[in-house]
Amino acid sequence: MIPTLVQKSGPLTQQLSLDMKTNGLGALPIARVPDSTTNMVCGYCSTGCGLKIHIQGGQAIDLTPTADYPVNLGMACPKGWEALRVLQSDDRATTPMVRDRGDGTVREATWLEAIKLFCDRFKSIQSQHGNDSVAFISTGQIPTEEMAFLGSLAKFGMGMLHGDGNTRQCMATSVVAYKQSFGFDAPPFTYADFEQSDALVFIGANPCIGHPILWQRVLRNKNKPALIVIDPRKTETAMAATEHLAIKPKSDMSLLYGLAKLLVELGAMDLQFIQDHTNGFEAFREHVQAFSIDRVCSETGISAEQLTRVANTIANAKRASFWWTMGVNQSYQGVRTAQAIINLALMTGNIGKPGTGANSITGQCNAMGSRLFSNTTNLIGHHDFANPEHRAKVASVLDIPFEKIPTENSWAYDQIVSGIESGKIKGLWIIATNTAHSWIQSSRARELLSKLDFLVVQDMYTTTHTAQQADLVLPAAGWGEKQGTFINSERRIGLIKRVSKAPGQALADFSIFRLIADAWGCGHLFSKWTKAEDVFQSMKELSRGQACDISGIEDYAALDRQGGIQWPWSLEDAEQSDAPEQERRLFADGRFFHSDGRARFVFAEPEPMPEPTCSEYPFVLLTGRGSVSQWHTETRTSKSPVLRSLYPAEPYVEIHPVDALRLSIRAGHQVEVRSRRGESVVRASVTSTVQIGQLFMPMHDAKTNLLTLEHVDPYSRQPSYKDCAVTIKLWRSPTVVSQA
Amino acid sequence: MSATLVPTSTQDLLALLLQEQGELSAVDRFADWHESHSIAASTYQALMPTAALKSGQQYAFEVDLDACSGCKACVVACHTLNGLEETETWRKVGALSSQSIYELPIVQHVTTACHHCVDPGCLKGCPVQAYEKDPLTGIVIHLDDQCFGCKYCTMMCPYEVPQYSSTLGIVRKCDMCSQRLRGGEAPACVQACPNQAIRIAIVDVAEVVANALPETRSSLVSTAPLSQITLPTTRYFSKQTYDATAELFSSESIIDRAHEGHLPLVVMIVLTQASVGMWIALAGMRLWGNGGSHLFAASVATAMGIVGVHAALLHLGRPWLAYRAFLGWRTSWLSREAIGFGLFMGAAVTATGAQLVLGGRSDAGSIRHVSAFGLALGFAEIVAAAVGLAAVVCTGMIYIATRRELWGYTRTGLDFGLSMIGLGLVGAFACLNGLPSIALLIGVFCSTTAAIAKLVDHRRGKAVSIRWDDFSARSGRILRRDLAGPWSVLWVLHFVAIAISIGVYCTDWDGAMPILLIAVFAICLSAQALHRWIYFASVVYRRMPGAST
Repeated sequence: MIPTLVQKSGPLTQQLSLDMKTNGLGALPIARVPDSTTNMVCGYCSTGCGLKIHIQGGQAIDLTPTADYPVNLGMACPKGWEALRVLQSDDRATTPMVRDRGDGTVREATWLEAIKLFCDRFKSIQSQHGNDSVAFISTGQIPTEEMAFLGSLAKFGMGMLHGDGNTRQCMATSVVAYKQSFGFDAPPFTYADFEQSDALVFIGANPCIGHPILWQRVLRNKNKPALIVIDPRKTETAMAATEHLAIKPKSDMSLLYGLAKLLVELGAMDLQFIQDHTNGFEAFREHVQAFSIDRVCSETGISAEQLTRVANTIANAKRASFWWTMGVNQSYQGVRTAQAIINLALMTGNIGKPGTGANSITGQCNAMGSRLFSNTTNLIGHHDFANPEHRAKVASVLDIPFEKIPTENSWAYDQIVSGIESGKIKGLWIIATNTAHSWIQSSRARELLSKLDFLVVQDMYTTTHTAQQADLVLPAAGWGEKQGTFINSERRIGLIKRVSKAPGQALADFSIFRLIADAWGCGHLFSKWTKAEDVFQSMKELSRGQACDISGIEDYAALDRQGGIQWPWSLEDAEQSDAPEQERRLFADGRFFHSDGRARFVFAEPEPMPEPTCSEYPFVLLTGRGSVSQWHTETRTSKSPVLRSLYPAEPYVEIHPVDALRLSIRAGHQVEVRSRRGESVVRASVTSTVQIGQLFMPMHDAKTNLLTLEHVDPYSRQPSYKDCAVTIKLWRSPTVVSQA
Repeated sequence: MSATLVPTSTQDLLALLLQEQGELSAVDRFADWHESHSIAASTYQALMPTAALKSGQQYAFEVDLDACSGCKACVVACHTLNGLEETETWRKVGALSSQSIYELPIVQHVTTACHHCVDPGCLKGCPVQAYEKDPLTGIVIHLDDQCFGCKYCTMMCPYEVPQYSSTLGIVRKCDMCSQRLRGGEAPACVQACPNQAIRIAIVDVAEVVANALPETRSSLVSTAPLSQITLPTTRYFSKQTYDATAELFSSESIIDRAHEGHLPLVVMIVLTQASVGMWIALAGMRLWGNGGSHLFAASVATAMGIVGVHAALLHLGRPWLAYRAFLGWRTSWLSREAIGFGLFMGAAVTATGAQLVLGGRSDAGSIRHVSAFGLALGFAEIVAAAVGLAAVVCTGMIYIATRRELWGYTRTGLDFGLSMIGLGLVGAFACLNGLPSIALLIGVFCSTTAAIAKLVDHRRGKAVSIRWDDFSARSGRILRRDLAGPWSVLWVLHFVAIAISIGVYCTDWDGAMPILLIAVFAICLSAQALHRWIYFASVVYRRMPGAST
């Protein structure tokens, strides 16, 4: 062969050649042109983006964001783009695994052996300590149908009383706030509201990082809206705001009440709306009188000018909307704070109209499904365990003996964890969540998990902190490997499909529940549920007459056809119209879900942080999302090499330059952050996005929750992750090792 | 579900469930194929150039910094839609932030890919002409099949755009999705930005040049490489957030990590410099009157040169294409070096052969004792030395041409020059009789002095507060932190060599001389290798935000 001197094309060039004729998909690498596509929703956050899965030879190979899906309009964040990649990982659970408590070794087991062990151990614990000594912790990451099956199996089939979900960590506060204020857990908005507002107020929300595809909708707003961001940190969203109120941590209630008082003084109330559709405004008006400008400024640290300017902006906005996320929800007074936001919307009549609303942006992809159908806090279908009529309805719809339905409410997550300590909980079944990492004050959680008689973890990965502690690991299929529906922030029900083969013997959670039901001996109770869509049909019936009525949605194919459907969509709605409108909001008629049809003003006196800073622990530790490319405890996102390259390789703490200078800490230094619970060594990131006296650590690394203090909102029992006292210093390695 | 599938035992049920799990039934039910339903075209029209390119214009990325929220969807979309390797990303997103305690907090995300420069460093440096600048669009395109994986473009591009793939053995880079552009489709990053922060614009080349005049010392964004080097075309603009006058820093300008040490290059540079140095010493000796055969020394020098030049092949991703290395000689110092060392090997082998044939003759003296054989030998040695010196100059220029602050003329010139002379003298002294022991002392002294700039860096790196543009001190900080071990070993080696050479000088002791001298030479070679490794690993330069991700 004659050596070629110049070679302008060849196999390497070919590798990057694109096929330009892909039937509307856009140019794609020749080797990666699909032979068919299918649409489904993303499995990370509650935005609920539509993703078009590219299928080649029956297997999903790539995806692109669905261009005509009403949520994301052809866009996705890095997590969504890489959603398929994380299914391929060496640490996927492929067979059941049993841990020997004696020597700590782990061995593979067959499914039959594992299921037998599961039933024998839990039954034996129940016979010894009572049925309620075995509990379960569910998740916002699996389809609603699986949550419904799990909750029904555990409570109606296995006789458990206590079960909760990791949604307690993200949405419980909004649930309780909405229920008390509106009479139902009903986020009123639709994403079009982002585009239709004149003033958007974000409280404890950083959509640029937390919900980047929703931020897209904000930027599409043509009204040149005022963007008011209330957050102790100068986040990306605060950077983009027209007004950033950098308040002191946990002073948001005072601020919101102060704004309410100013709005009253400015005459910005919608008195007609208040009179016709609400209760309790007079008492609320009285309550906020105590929140003078002086008091609010001293408690929040912002200036009187800024406070009045913001009040004026809200007063003058034709359509103001209020949006909150974890800064509000993850607070020891989160429910009342969320209601302080709701009150602002109610008093100004900013609800039920385009571009308005008191709007909780949900966290997880299916937190809303969990809220309605997980059969944990609420009896399945947002019913009440204590209400005999509700129990009768559920028993009849599901064809389950009435007496199988518990009459008492379940313990919340924190009570289940404490129940281990008090000896009430002996067996625990954890599904698709990572308690040992994510539960607040995690060293305590880990210690308590180790005290259980039997811990079962059902997960996609064997390496999660929690799976590492399990006596039995059940290998689960993940998003993309099973069917079902998710409900997003704007109440849109979207479909997920089985487009990828699960590794080894991993099974859909749905199938695992079927196996367990069969082996437990209660399979007959659920014999009508042989596939996810069967459960969906049951959910429809359960929702009849509820605010979340979805009886008008025919089946999965209808969801697929319509690009998702928002609840409510009742049979009556369906009879009046062929297809639901793409973007619908609640309360256009001013009728709320309390029996009198009125919304309520609910309020309380702000409380100080339970662990204030002191000379020994002079910093407030804030926690939150680190980057768009990381999700929760990173069990999935860390499996994508590209995502991993998009966030810092090492955990870090953000510290203000003034504090850093004083403590001789420079960017990149290793520092020790210590609280009364423990200490973590991380890298320093010196930045004035945090205020003096505050530190920020992303929640994604397990080191962060070693520091946090377990305390919860008394109404929602949601943990308060963003306010504990810590100290920081330069870290010197105890032994001399080179930092290569 | 048909009645035959109703399981009768848990075992049957398990079998059924495992079978279901293996079927992608949802796909069969729902898979669809959206027929020519091109939403993309209308959505992205506003982000694409509407006019045709005129002469003196080219395409460029334009980034609205106010709209970029740092989500990095562009990075992953580019990765997916171009079918890149697992960790390969052609677009990066970095961040600038203020460190000042007085300024308002600022965090500015910066998305960056190839800047399709007017005067691309990658193209100029490429020894095999694997880069083309499209005469119409101005897009800088890499010819993957032409590339032999020398990675020089990764140093020549100030923005570190070309990325090397060890599995493919070549570099690849952003081509502005030119295939998509030709088909009227927006590049992947443009399509994927939720906030429409990236667009394709038409820029006037003259304007790009005018904006990058050396006296402006302008850069694309704060702390980025100076635009005068390659005339990048990307335009970053901001109405509010990004204030070009504010002191903003990227993490690349604050946190330094050691770079790759390039072992094959280290071996190549040290051995070729030792070889050329020895040839210069040999030629010098003949000029100064030391006649006779230099066969042993010449053989050692030539052998080192040959091993050194071949070590460079190990640096190539596709070494079998090394013959292409000369193609870029018009612009590439790497081509020139390759040609230079090719000629040098020929000259060195010839001069060594001459020693073998002529060196034994009694009348083969020095040039001063004029004899035909002496003249021939001397000529051969001088040619080898001169060609070798030219090649070493090319080696130096390879690094100088990158315009990295710590690889400038003075530093690299002194460093390479002293290394070469030092190794040459020590090598010649070790392999020849008759050189005064002062030569060894001078050789070791030169070899040690080559590290003097690094010694200054090391000292300055001790400072508590280091400005981002104090590259010497930042390099010193790396020496103290990441390279503390190699740094100590380097100085131990230098001191041992100095001690031996002083001992030899003072005592003129030649008991076990050959072994001792070979040991000194080996120590000096090792020290130079370590020194060269540190030269690469401790380099600090202006970097684009995101370059280190």
